[in-house]
Amino acid sequence: MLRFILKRLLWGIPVLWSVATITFIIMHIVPGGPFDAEKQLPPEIKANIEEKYHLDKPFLTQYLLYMGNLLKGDLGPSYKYLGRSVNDVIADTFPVSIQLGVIAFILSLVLGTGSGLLSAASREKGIWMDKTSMFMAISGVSIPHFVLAALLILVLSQTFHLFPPALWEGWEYTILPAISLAAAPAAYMARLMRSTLSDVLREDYIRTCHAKGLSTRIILFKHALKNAVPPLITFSGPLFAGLITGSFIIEYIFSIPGMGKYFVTAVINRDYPLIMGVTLIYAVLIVLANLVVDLLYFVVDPRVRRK
Amino acid sequence: MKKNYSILFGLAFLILATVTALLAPWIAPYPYDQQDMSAILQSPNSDHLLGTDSLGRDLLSRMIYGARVSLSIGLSTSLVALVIGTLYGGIAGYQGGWVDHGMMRIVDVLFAIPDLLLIILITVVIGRGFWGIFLALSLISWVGVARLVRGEVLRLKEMPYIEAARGIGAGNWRILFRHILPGLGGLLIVTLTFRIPAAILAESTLSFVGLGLAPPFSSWGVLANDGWTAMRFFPHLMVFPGGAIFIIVLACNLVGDGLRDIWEPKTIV
Repeated sequence: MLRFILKRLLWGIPVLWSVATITFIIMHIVPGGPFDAEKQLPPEIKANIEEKYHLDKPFLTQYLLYMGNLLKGDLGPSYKYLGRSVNDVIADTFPVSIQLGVIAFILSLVLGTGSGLLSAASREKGIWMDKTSMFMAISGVSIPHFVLAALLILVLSQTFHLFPPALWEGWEYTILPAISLAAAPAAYMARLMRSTLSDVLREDYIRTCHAKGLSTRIILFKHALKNAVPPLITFSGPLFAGLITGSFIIEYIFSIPGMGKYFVTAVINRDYPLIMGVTLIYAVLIVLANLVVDLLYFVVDPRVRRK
Repeated sequence: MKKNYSILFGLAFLILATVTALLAPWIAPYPYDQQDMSAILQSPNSDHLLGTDSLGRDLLSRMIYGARVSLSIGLSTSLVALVIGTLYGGIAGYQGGWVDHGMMRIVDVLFAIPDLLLIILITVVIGRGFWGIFLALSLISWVGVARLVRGEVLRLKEMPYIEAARGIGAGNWRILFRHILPGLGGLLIVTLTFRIPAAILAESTLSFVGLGLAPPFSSWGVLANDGWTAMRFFPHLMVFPGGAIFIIVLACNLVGDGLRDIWEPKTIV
């Protein structure tokens, strides 16, 4: 077990290295640099700035310098937020995105598995319940989250004044963005849950349970549910990583000072170190999330454990 | 096969939207760029069925032309992603061994780079015209297809009929293209019906935040972006284009769902 974890963590190193290198190369191939503003800087000043950030050095030297600092955990200075290091910017914005992401994740998990379960369980008895919840689910995966966010703002905040339409100053500010973020993954999970669960419910061992005279509720929760969980875990891992790194669209619409918003501004501004920093955090989270997914498989599925 | 109303509804809407997009110059009541300063920011009325924007342009006409952009981006990027992903995943899965291992590690790395970064950087190089967005979206979306196809090929190549084909002396390429590829048919069509709405969503989302198509193109995402800024007082400018995106994506998903139920590739939800 420990060997497996170690092996996977070690495998993460070349992945991260490749992500860092590819991102670094792409950023430098793309024409234009961080200091080509609309307003032309005098050549001497530009040269000074470029010297300060080592942008005048050959590409390979820049790469080695960056990688050297990275090994020390230093993500470098931000080019656009003067006087602040990338570590500072991330330390300020990442917690906001994590907070919103975790709430959205929990919301989608509860809503998604709940309605998926309800719908699979009620397939025989209450067709309408299955139909309604599946219609909600297909609408949920079809509505763009910016449209949903706009509708929520329009109805819940402009018409009924229930929640604030933007900013990030307390719990009531998290509701609308969290719903907008959670809708699509919740809908997807509901569909996933329903389809795997209804496959499981057709299996022989479930018929045996029925024959033994177990109640539908016990069959569903104690026997069927366990086998419907693995696909959900596979989906949840990367979802969690994506949600806590922050969604640019949602942070943009609701003016939330999270990491997603800074990331896109950084790409547009060519703030190389900030782009690298956020990309690497995302990559680390994806690698970790996939590891956790595999470990959870060990926990929930004895068949995997035996292999 | 029982009657599948969701497929019928979805198909009907898709056909309607496609015909509208193709016949745009004849159907649209006004030219899409005709400004009318005497009729700015009107709510829906009998002259302008969906109202007008801040330059007095007819929203319905702009949406009819926007359908061309949204639909063609959705269809073309999905097709390209499907072709690349099928070839890549097919070769990886069929070859197996270190070829498969190497190819899939590349996919792992691509998965770990945020899509948005690649999209923005590609559009910086090529520009934010139709082709820039087309290329950017195609290049990021084949990865998922490759994974799906690889999994299915791994399963198919162990089937007895493939062994039989090899037994009578069929070569690798022949087996791959004549025997395995047709076996992927259902999976590929269903994947396509789910890729198209995903691509339409991606394009509209990019355009909505101002990173997608640049003017003079007007996709539904661009229109929604225009509407967003004025939403507080003129909600129709946001609601109609947003609603159009929602309905077209819903229609694609309904068709995809229906087809999946018929062919039952279990791997896609």
